[in-house]
Amino acid sequence: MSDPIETLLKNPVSFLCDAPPEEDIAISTRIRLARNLAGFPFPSAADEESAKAVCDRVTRAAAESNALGCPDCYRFDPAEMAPLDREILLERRLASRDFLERPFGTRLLVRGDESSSIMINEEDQLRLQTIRPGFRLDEVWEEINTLDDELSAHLEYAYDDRLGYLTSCPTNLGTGMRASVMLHLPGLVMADAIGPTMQGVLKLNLAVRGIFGEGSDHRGDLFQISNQSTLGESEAQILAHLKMVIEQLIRQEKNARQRLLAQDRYTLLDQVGRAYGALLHSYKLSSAEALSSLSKLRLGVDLNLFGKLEILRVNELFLAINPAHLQKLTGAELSEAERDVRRASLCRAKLHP
Amino acid sequence: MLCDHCKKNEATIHIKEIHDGKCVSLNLCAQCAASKEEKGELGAFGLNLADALFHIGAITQKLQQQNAAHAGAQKSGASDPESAAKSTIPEGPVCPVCGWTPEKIREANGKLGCPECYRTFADMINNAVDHFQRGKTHLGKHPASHPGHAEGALHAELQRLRRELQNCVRKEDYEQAAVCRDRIKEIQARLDEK
Ligand SMILES: [Zn+2]
Ligand SMILES: [Zn+2]
Repeated sequence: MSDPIETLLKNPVSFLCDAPPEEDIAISTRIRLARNLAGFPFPSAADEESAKAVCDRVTRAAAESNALGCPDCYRFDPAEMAPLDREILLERRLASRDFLERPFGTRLLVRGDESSSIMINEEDQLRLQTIRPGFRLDEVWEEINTLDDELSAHLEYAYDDRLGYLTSCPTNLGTGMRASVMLHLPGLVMADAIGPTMQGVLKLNLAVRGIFGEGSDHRGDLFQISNQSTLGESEAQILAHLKMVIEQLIRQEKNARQRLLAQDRYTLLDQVGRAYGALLHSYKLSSAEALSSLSKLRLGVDLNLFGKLEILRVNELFLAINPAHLQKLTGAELSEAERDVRRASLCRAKLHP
Repeated sequence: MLCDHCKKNEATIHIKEIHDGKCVSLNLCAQCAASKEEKGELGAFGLNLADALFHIGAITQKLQQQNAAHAGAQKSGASDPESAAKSTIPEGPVCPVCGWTPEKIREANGKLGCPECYRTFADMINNAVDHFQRGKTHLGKHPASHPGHAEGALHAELQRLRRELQNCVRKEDYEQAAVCRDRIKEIQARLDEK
């Protein structure tokens, strides 16, 4: 493989681009599993020698089990990568900031289609991830469960009969599983109903990431809902609970959109139209403005306000407007001001009717 | 307004978080917000995970009080400086494999050092688990067993022995150090066979 980052950039991100059209509210489903090897310190207590030993073992296990299609998988060693290339991994949701900044022993293995990956020596020694477009908890669980089984045939995990999988932080203890669904909820945000709705979600023992309350619109109305507790319930129970709540949120979002259309049609149309205008005719677009406009445009597409515009083109832009992708696609390092100009021209070009 | 976290940059992101029915507001600079969001710390636990989980602040305080009491007792009747030096530090639990202490866990924002820590700090962890997990017992899947089983125990023992060896050398207990060294060699050989 020549430059794996360049190869990555040529591929559309599957979790953003392969979603069937009816799954417009749930953008993607992701499950992560935290695992560690018996007898080795967790990464935060590991010296370089021990971290590298773990890294080698996991790499070998991945190759032996053929779990990610290795050796035809991507392999990244963040400690040896250029900062901009590292950011690409972050923006594609393949790696966490914390992982990329660790000084030694880190490695990322990624299946060719980017659907499954393993971060080695993140907060835990192994963080398995499977991510798919739309709302597909069962399918994603099946995939990551298989990956986990394949690896565990070649590795001895730190496991306790009572406590389950032993993790660096006790908040992940037990199943070590974090299942999450990314939801696009502009209707609830516009209807001023997002605060109480999310409060309800938190009461159901789920976690919400995404910023709500003041200044709520600059993250693209995206909310990630995930399980909070990892011990005391089986994976199936955790997933069933999460599924029920997500289904309910999707219904609420649909209702909010219909209500807005019925009761406040012109405010909704105006906001969507202005967002489209900003994306089509701006010469400078900050990250925040682009995200907020794309979110409204996505809502417009979902509501069939734009006959010809495909949701895929909008989804692709959600990734392409990020700073590192913008710079890699331009082929040059850009200052923030230059990025704003470049971002505007990209949106104009991609969305031009 | 300055960032609540780094207290250096101007806060540009204002978050209202609802936690336990209370509304908590958080003002962050873009940098801190990004790193917190990445780490998943913008979720329910807010800023100080270790304190929220383990009440380590209280544990540390108790240890300090014990220290002070000990030091007082030593002063009144100490005549043997060597034994005084050895016993003025009543240590809290220390993990025999990774050497971590409650203070170290606090520094690491609630993370533990190694799997053995779950045994060493069992009381502290059990209490914490009650607060944020829905149950106490794992009901999920378990790893498929495989031929290399029990290798992990050897690795853990190896690390425990290395730590003990360091301590022996520090205490100039060369006899015990030699015993450790032999055990280390033996285990290393068994691991190399595998
Ligand atoms: Zn800050
Ligand atoms: Zn330990």
